[in-house]
Amino acid sequence: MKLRITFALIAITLLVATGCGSLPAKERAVTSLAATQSSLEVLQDAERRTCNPVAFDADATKPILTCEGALATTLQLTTAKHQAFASSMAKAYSLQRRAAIALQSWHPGQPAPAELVGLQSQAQDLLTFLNALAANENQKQLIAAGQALLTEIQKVIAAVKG
Amino acid sequence: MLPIYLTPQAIQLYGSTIVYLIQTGKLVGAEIAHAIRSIFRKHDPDLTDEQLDAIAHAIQDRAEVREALSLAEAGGAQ
Repeated sequence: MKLRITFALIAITLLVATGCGSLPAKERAVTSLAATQSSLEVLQDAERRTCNPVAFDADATKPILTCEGALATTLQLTTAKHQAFASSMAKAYSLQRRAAIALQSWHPGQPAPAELVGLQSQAQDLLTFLNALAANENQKQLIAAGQALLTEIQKVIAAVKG
Repeated sequence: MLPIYLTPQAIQLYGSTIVYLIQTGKLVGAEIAHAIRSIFRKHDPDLTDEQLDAIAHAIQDRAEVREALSLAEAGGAQ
């Protein structure tokens, strides 16, 4: 069984690696930016659900204004910290939105859109914030989501610089 | 680029492998979308500039919605 899983992982890795390597630069940049958007949303929703699972499960599309519950308490995620995190996320989405606009008129060989470097810096700030939370399993998951985000942004940057 | 086309049987095989890996927790988060995308990327020819612009525009819309939500949650921390 373990051998089959290993084989499947190797097969998928080869698929992904060959696919990414042979795609045109703009396609790699745009598809990676789409993955970046998904990573931003995954990270934000993980934080929002930790902040207030009841409110999040009731309607995830509505703003979560206060942190309540055991999850937030154990992570020392206060309402003030949640607001600071949301503020950082707003900046990241603003850069992401402007990067998406810039990529529409970008062509291979042109300089990388400046928003991407700003987005990378913003993602690093988000990771710093997550690292400052109380260390536990939830924090590890949030950090993993933050690192996945950073990886996706680096893929976009690599695509436009490649 | 030389496109590689997968047969429907191969897509089914890779698809069911991905489902299995998700169910067993071997494939998580962004890796799932990445793995699924890689299958269809092989099956379809390269995207046109118009299609790429449409995807970028959709990203722009999604980011805008999330930016507004984040600002509403940020309150006085903006």
